[in-house]
Amino acid sequence: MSILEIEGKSVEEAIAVACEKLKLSREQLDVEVVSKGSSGIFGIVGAKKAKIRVTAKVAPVEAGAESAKRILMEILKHVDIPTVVEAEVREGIVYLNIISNGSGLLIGKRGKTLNSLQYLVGKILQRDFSEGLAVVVDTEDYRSKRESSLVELAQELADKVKKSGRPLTTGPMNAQDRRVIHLALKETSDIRTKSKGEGNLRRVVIYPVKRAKRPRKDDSAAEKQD
Amino acid sequence: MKELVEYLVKSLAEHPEAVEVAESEIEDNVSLGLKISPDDLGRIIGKGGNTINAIRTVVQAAASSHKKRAKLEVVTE
Repeated sequence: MSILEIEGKSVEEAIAVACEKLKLSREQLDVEVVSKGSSGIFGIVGAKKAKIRVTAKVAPVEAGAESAKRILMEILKHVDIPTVVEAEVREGIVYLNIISNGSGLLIGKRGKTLNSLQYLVGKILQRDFSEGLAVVVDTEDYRSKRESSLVELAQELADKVKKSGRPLTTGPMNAQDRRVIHLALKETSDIRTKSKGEGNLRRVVIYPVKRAKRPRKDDSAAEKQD
Repeated sequence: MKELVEYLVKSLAEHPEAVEVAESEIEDNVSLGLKISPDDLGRIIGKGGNTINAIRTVVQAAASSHKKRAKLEVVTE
């Protein structure tokens, strides 16, 4: 847990600065006064700054989850559908779940809107929690459903590659989705996977492992995961 | 829509005081013009336009919940 030393004109001012810095309320801080400080004569000569040592009582990730929830709720205020946000921390990752009317509006095509919300909440959160907190935004179980359909797709493609002996490529995918494909096929024999392409057009290519008849230069990187 | 853009951009900007959003609406088509400090251009647009595109996507979703369309452009002079 982080300990912070802060100076101010008075103890009260130093505490206020600490609250602002850590984005926590006074109750969530343990404050130890190192020196009380004095204003000195005429407020100039011999003025001594107050110094305090503060420790956060709550884990930063818990505070991060609260902030993340507030940010997402602030954004959703402008969307004209009823929403409730739940926040949860599991294994150091902040999970935000939006409960809504099931319209899919917040998911968008292939999760585009949901991913944008997640990206922006993470980005805004970065300002206050510079260590970088992982935030996952989900609604209507979209992410777990998406994951199982990606695993299904990966297996179908792998079967085709095995039958035909020719490589196949998925559509363009973001890093999260590519990771699911790589992991799904990690243990599958006779094929290997590799990401190809740049930026938003990156795809996963599934190659057969059996040697082609004519000798070909083949990069030996068996697998690349990102 | 204007408030949403302002909230997002001000939360991300290094100079939130320089953020200005102009809004005009013709038959459910909302045009938003965003002015920011030149120092913030990179931050708000993001790598390959990632950040501004995420803002656009969220603004469009919000607009469609009001049965409107939204267009967001960064204005530079």
